[in-house]
Amino acid sequence: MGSTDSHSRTDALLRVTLGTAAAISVVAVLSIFAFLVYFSLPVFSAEGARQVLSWDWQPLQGSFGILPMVVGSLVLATFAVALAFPAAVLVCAFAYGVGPARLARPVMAVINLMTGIPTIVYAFVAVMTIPPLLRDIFEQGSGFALLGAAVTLAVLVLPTIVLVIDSNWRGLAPRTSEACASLGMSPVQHVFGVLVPVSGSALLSALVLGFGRALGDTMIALMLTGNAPLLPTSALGSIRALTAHIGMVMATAVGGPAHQSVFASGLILLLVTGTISALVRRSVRLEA
Amino acid sequence: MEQLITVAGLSVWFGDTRVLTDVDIEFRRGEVTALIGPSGSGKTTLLRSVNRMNDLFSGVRTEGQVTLALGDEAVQAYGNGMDVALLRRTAGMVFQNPNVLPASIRKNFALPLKHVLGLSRDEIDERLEATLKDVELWDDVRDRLGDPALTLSGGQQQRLCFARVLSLEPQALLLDEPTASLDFLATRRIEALIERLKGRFPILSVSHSLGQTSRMADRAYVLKEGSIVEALDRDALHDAERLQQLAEELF
Amino acid sequence: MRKWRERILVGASWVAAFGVLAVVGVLVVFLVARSAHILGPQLLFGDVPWTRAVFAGARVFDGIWPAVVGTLTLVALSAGIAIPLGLAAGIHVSEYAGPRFKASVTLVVDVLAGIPSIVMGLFGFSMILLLRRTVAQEAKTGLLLAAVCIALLVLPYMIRATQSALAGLPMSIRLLGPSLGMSQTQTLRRVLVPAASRGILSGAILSVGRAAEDTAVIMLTGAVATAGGRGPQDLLGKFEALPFKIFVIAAEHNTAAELDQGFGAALVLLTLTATLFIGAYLLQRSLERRWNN
Repeated sequence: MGSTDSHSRTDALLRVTLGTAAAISVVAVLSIFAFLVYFSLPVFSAEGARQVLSWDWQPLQGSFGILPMVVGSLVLATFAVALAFPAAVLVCAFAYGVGPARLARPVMAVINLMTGIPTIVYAFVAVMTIPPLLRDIFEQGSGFALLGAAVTLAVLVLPTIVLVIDSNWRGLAPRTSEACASLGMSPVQHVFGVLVPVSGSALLSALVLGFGRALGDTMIALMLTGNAPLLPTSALGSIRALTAHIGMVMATAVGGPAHQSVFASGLILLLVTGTISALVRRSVRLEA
Repeated sequence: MEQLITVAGLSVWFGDTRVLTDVDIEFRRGEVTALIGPSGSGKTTLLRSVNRMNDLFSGVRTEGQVTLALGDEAVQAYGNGMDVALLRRTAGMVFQNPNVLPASIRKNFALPLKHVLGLSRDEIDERLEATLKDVELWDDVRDRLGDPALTLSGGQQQRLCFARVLSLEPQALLLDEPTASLDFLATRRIEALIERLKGRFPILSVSHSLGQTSRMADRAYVLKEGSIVEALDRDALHDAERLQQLAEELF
Repeated sequence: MRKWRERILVGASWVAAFGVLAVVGVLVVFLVARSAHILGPQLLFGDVPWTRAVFAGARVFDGIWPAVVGTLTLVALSAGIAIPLGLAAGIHVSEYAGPRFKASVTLVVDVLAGIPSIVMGLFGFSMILLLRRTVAQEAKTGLLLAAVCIALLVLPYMIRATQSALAGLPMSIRLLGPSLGMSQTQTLRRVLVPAASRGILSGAILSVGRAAEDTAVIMLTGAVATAGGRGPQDLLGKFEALPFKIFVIAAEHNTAAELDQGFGAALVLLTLTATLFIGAYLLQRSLERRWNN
């Protein structure tokens, strides 16, 4: 009897401890929101909003508009995903029958390994190789441009997209490939004619997830875009991402409207990625 | 004109294991030819060697001949330059577990017909209706062609698979225990369908049940450990004593 | 017509697959080639003898040793927070939580996993701001703050790994403890967690790897280019770290020797995270194989 009591006490204690841990994670996320909102409060006034939601970033002249950076981030992420998503689908196609069966596993293993490469390493190698290359090829500009950053970012997010598609196709393909083979369909027809149409929602999730990842990257944007706080005009032009903007401003000024713009940027990023996460990750997990 | 498929001297290895040894069978239009035997005897491998589905496994080796005399000329399934995709359309296969695609009923037809035969949307709709009527599924599904095929019952799914195969206009049918996963009623409906189809194509069917074989088949080959041990004609199949003996030997 | 389109798709698939392999291959080869000649004690310790640097606390100013120590310390601290916390939370969600709490935590974990690391760094910085405005006017960013923020960053990995490892246990294992009369605590401790240990460990390793590679968080929470030539001396002080060092070298190198150091540091970091990652991957695979048999 006594030991049962102590067991049930231990059980209860454990339960509470574990529950606290879980609660901490919830509290943490809520605090992140809370802090960012608190410190961006000045932005929510009419005056603050006008300042921060403008198209000019020239702090020395009192302009703290972050809109060019918002656009810059969106354009950069879109460009990166526009490169990475088709490539990811093609890689998956290769692994799921279009390429020889014995190459499928090694290719996927390399993709998996890519997720272990630090972002800073991608950024470092890219910054040492791409700007000189761009300068040579195009004979203009500094080489620090949207193009270089987008390509590097595409390499970064490609494995994420591939792995999401793979986890969906892994369950789907065994069912469909035998059926399609017996109907006289070739592997290409199976992958692009059946697998792709049938996995449409997983493909969309993969794309959106990749987009979120691209949006959240800091180092590649910081090191490769040139960081000009201007609206994107061409692929060879320099832009600034919202993430890089935060990094740059925090490294220099402290306090004042420049700071507020940073917190507003952070809040925007948090809201966008939070929404993406809330919507997409659930459907990705369901499919897996 | 007779439509005949002949298998001669067929041996199949999976890696180092010999699964079929020197198999000779034939099946023709107008008859249902059954393959019976204990599990592991190579029935499915034999069936799958006709449309070369075994080729999908790595480490497979096939020797012997499969001759399809279905038109003006006889064709060698394992001959040089054989278009395997065409072969598999010609000898259509229905599996034990209905393998409908995880898509709508219409898409189950549209995807293969579009990609394999390049049919237009109207042509697809025509064939869809015709073959679904053939398998007596049309009335059940005509109003819900956009519904997922997986919402159909097992028996309906299997009939859908038959229809799908028929829509590709095959010239022979290969059936791998087509009613094994179905209930009694669904089984009977499929058996009736097969009965109707046998006048149109040569049909080779792997059977899991001696009872079904006795009901449906015109001819049967008995397989044991990769070799044909007996060939039974219609009379033998209706000889109850003979069947009893066989059941004891095999199972 | 169709044949022609199909051929293009086949060709494009081959190009994509080998293109990706080529990019990774070129990256690794480039890194190794550029740093091969300086791999060795000099990369880490400069001109200082390694024994003095490691054991006697001698200061190293032209080697990456302080950054290595900084990263290791940071990782140890943040793992020390995130692993137990994530394990506990994951166990709770998997074994105790009601459906509503479970859904909330899952949502929270998903959101946390998607937060850009710079935003996490901003959060850390904002905590210091708040402290400055209220109780501790002298508050500064430092190692402990960075460790907490990184712990939050990797917490999702740990929680998810624990959750899925436990969820993947077969029914037979789950029934074992109760059938032997064990209390829930005992079942967890003696049966379930050990059975799920590979998956949990894999999550822990992934968390460590993620903690080691992060740059944006530490950029805002106390990482500096040079912090006295030694590893971090106190929890509230500034510190060096490998990823930040690489960034600084890329941005501000003046000599070829400095640049070489950057390549060396990048290779060291890559080796570290790649090894961790491969370890986690192999663990995860062996776990899956075990339960699938």
